[in-house]
Amino acid sequence: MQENVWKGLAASDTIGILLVILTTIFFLVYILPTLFSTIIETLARSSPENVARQVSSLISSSTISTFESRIEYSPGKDKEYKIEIFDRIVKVGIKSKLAYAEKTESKKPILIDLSYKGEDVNTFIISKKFEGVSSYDFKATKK
Amino acid sequence: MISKQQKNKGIVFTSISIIEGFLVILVVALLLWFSLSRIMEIHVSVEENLNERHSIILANALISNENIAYIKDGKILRGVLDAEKLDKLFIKKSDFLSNIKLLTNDVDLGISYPNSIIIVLVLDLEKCSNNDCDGWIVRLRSLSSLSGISLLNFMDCLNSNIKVDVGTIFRFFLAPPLGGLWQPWDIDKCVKNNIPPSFKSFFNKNRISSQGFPILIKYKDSIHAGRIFVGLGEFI
Repeated sequence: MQENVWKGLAASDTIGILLVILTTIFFLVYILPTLFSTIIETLARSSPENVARQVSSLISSSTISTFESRIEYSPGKDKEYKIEIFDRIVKVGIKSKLAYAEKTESKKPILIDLSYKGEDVNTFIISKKFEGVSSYDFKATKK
Repeated sequence: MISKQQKNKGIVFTSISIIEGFLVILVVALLLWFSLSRIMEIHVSVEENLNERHSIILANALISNENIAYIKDGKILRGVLDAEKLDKLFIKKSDFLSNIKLLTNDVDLGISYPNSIIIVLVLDLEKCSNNDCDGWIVRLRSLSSLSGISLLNFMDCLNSNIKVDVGTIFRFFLAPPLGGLWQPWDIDKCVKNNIPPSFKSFFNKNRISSQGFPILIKYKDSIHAGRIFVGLGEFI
């Protein structure tokens, strides 16, 4: 009788452990990679490196327009950036709660002369107009 | 009675071990999420040929640039270059032979990447004979924010190593494997002697933009088919 009770106990423990193992495998195979890729993708998309790259490419590409163009780029509504454009260079930094992350910034070259300085922004607007001579305008706002 | 109690005890133990297991998973997930989003700093590195991307953007910008593009009724005709403007701003093939120092003189078209050496070549494909096409060549002015770089020495070095056989030069742009403005070892030598190691050259690469972009060249009374090529070297 006592033996049967221990047997039952051992069996239910085994079922429990198996359940936990199966959940862990499911977690490791399905949930963890999705969680990882979502976090990394979100961080990469909103990283200063990516934002500087996008902004510099969009500014340079705006020169291709022959009449009028307006490009709006918003990397993420929950992020805030500081941006500086000088000497045909775009410098982007991200505002972070961590002190050391504030130092993270990226510089990328652009094709045209522009000058701009802005902080706590997350939307970048590039405009071009051709009226005999090409003129460019850059604005950054918080949305 | 005793056995029933012990059975219930077994079920309780099992539930606890399951809850414990789930808690462990939850704690691990939370730790991972916390370390990834709050503690770890993720740096993005994109593998690409930056020079090629810049060459393509610049070539596209040049064929829309009001300084060299044909303008009709106040509108830029993208991809149609004005031969008269090219004559004024660029150096013609005939002058190229007599003025080998062309690379030390640059032209400002209002667009160029900073800290770069950019050479633009326009070929008229309807003025060719013996694989030799008529055309224009120019070095674009580039802002330099770098100190300690002897750009003039570098350009002099390139000038002294440039091929004077224009036929070969233009054949390079038409059929890249045949040769180039400079031999790769000539550029390497000039870079080694005058430029820091962070210089990235695109002059001798055989990729998309070294095949050039198709354009039209508008003369006074005719339009010819042509190609524009952008050679780029950047200090990164």
